[in-house]
Amino acid sequence: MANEAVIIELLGNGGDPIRFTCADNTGIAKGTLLELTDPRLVIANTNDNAPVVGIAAHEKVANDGSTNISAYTNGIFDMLTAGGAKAVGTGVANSATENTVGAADAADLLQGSFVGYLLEADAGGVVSSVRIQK
Amino acid sequence: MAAEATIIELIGKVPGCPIRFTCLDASAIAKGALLQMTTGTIRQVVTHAAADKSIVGIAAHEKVANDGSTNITAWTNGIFDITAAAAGATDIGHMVAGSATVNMFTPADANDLLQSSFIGNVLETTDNDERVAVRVLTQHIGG
Repeated sequence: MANEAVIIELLGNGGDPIRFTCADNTGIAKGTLLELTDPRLVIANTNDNAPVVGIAAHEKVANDGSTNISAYTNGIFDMLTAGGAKAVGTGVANSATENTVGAADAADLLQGSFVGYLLEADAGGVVSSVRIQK
Repeated sequence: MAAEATIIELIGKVPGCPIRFTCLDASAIAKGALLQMTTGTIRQVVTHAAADKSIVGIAAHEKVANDGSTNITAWTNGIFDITAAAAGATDIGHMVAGSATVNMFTPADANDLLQSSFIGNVLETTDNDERVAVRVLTQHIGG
């Protein structure tokens, strides 16, 4: 993976981490945008319009025997954005490219793909701060 | 009442991020009831019983009718087991809102976002009438 989110500020109770399950054979880098699959199991996000639950709070090494990973759900993170200029405050959602967010639409809100709001004007294809609360 | 929500996990710096609301002394509210705002009053809640009402959270304690109390606390942040309505089948991760059936949810639509009828996002694929884990973060849209 690449372009993982980087913590700027953890809000609430240390980023309000929530524990999810994951497959033992999954390798997930810290800072990865996590996608929800059934039931309450997460993977690194690679599917556009999939529900996302937060940012991986720690490294998960493949086949380390662990089947749990925590997701930060409340904070401000530096994240890579997809191409296209976006105004400050624009809502962003996941994309088909790992750890990359693009401008959100109404469907993203209902299907849980919404990630957060841009805290700065964004030229597209750059790293910008995003307010996340999932 | 029936089908009250049950706690899986309370989240936040103060677990569950409880918020106090007012209620009528005559109201009986079960712990775990979905709470909706009432119209025409300030910050007053009743047990959810209709669709398209603003949902504020989940009752954190029992309120016995005519016990002299006019306050009730709502949990607003956590993961809860909540029951889907008869027409409550929902894709994983999708937002859900209060249904017309007491304490039960249906898939949310755009109006639910604008009128704050949404409850949160389901953490598992949901069939009609199924009880599932829901990420509750009331009065907060999506991200």
